[in-house]
Amino acid sequence: MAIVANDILTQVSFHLVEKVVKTTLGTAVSPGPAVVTPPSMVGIYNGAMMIVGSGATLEIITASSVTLATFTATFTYSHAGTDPLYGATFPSGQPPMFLFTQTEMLNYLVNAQQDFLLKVRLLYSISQVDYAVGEQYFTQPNSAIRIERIARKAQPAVNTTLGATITTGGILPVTATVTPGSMLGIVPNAILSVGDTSNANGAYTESRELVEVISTTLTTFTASFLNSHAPSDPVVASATWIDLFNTSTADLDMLQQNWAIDIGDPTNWFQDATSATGYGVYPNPAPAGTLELWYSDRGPDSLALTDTLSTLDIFTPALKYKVLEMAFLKDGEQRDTQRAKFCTENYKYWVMAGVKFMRGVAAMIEEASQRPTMQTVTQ
Amino acid sequence: MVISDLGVQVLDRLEESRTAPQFWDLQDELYPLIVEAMNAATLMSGEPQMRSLSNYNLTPNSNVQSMPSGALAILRIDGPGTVLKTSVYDLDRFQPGWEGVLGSKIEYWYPIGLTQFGVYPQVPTAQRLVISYIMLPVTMSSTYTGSENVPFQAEYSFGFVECAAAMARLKEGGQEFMQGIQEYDHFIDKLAQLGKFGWRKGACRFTRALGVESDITSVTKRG
Repeated sequence: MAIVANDILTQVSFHLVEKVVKTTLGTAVSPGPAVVTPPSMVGIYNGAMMIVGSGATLEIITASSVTLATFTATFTYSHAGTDPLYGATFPSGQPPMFLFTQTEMLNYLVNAQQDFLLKVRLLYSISQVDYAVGEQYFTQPNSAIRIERIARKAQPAVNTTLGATITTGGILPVTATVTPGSMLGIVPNAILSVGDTSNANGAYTESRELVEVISTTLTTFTASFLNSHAPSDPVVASATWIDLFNTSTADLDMLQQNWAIDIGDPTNWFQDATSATGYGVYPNPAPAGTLELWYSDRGPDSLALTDTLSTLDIFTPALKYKVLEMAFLKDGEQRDTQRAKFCTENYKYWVMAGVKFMRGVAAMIEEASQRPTMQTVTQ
Repeated sequence: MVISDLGVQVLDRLEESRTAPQFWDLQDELYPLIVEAMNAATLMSGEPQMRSLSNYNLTPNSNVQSMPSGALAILRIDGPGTVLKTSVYDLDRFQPGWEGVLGSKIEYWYPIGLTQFGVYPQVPTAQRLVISYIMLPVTMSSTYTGSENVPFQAEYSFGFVECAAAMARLKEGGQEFMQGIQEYDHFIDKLAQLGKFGWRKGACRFTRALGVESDITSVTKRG
């Protein structure tokens, strides 16, 4: 089970000498509001968010109407009295003279995670964006730190059936022209997977083979087959993509003065002179198509107690020290610059270890794409 | 050796009772700190390394693959035959239009951060690979039982104890906390010494400047 936000805040609680909720529900409940009597009320106060249950019935509840032995909460799922009830609630001074609130600590954790992912850049995402004719400027995805690579869909995916019977009897391949269910994505020299993908048991069969398209018409293609096939045999290939060259509007100005009015399939992308999170493509797209964006990801802008962290588990101690640094630097009783400094240095250490590890195993995507040349821009 | 073997030693360092600790919670507080020390050691030393015992099935018709369970970073892949490591940028340069290309077996692999990796070309069937990787020392969770294995050589063990004890003292503050930093320094020194073995193992090695330094081909640095 991956580390969730509450796990980090629980560790933070121990360092801050804050009590945590760790008990059972004590009372069986059905969906809706209920008054429960847990074996222990340690850490439970009016407004405390806690986690109850496990698996599919795991949920966050908020305590209200708290007494010395009971609290009220609204439940989404049914729970047994033995279901676990836990959470880092930061109860010191609650309410109203709190040292820390849970919302505040979750915000610290969000900031810590985004800072760590910005510095180490271990998380990359790939998404697709459809563009219309003439749509030249775009906004990068919300969670993107930086776009690392853009590619354009050159050929759509192939997903059809063969539409003809192929019979082979000897060791030589049979060259045949077939009329598949659809010609979408089938072009000369394309490599296609032809044949059954599985049998009834899910195991791969012998009829599957890769064939290279020799020629095409509007409704047919010709290829050489080594295996026999039925008309219903699937013909499959993924979409193919061409990467765009990373450039700048300044370079485009220098190399192709009238670049802004050029029309065609995008070959270059740039991020300058757009907006804070914008990017553009050259030339002005026509026809419409699809871009594929590879970007370093900074994770979500908010976290709940049960949310899995975007940072890999092994790096989560870094987040703990960053949260502790912010807690120790906060005005108030907990302010402790000595411990804050230690946490700062420890966080830096984890960042450095993370960066060096990423470089050590060459996992970081940090290189800019090819720079444009006169040839690539004017082609 | 398991985590609970180290847990009692951490309690000793903190002058706590092994049977009824008062100020620190063994399971919820100290075990996670021992795991934290092991995680730090993995990042610094590139250990433990593992050659996958079970074959990894590639997702058919896809360049992008998820990391094997428990793997932190892939070191090498065997196909059939050696699958060479490359980068997405090299593929862009030398194999334009490589994304989506189908083939009968994969020839190259490339990392995509630490959460995914990619292969070229795509293969239409679930091809089996043998993957060598740096593994997460312990599957992290909200609760440790103490029976989790410590997958490092014995020389690391007391370093983990010292590191966990130093971090545990953070909540004490003051002089006790400051003195704990000295123990943490012992942990770093120990890793520096143990990292020297990395010169023979190749891909990752520890420096006193913190963290692994490595090359894809390590041979030139062995001499």
